Amino acid sequence: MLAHAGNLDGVRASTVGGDLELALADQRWQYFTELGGGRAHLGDDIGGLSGRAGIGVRWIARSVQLEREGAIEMTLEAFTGVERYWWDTGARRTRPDLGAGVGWQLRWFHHITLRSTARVVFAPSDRDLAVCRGECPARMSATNAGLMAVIGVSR
Amino acid sequence: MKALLVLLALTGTAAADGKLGWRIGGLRAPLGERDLTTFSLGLEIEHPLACDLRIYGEYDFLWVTDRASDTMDFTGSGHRAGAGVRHRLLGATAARLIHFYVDGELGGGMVLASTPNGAVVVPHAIAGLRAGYTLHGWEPELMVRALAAEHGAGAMLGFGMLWGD
Repeated sequence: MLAHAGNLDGVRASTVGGDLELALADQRWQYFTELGGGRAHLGDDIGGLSGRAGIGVRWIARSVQLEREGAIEMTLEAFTGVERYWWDTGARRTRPDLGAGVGWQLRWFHHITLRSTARVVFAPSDRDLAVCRGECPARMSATNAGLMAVIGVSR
Repeated sequence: MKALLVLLALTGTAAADGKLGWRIGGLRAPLGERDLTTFSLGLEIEHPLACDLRIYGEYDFLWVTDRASDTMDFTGSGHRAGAGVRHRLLGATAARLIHFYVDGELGGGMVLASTPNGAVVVPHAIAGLRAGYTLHGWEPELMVRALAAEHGAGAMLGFGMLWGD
């Protein structure tokens, strides 16, 4: 599951949906690809769908062993991807993103892993496409920033 | 993008001795001349100074959200860096396995954030409490902080985890 709250060209935007990840593990490193999507909202009035494809790398920064049954681990990750929005108004928007995240995972050896990650996501702003209702900010940042939460189970 | 560089720098520090952790939280404080709500995602490193005294450094990425006027929302971002000390106030161990604690903390920091009125720099002092438990060196904890800045006081709530060596 994923939830993303951010900014799309000067307007508050959010997505709630699902995320599918495929990862390769090497010691304390994981290299992953992900594909996600969900229901998106732009401001208070506009709805739509969003999709995202990305790649990233995850590092297990700290690990605490729980007897012989598992571990609680701290993860740090960096990722990049492409977001696509299909708004109900007919408008479309595609933008790349880049980010970093922190998280924790509860791992049962040889069984499953429960992971929760919080991410900071940056995407370029398209000032020409800014949607302002009434007035626009005097200075719009060249970068849109947001937060993303991802919770899931893997094995 | 500055946030990414800071995160990378702190990630490098992660290899050093001491505790390392992260937290998520919310902050309601006067940034500039108006109260703003921010959500934060941060990293923290800690080192012991004495038996129950620890020094910490922290970085938070801030996502600022507010209704700038009746017709327009405002979203921005910012950064917060801080440092302080924490001291154990209460502690109890259960079943020789889990140690519950309440810590007090004092510190200060600096916020650099974009607001509806432009970019602001807000130095501030903090005092707070943290409550949690230690299990094999893993410390999940809740944090409540009062924040004092030039234009008034604010509050910061957070939930985080620290990992020992």
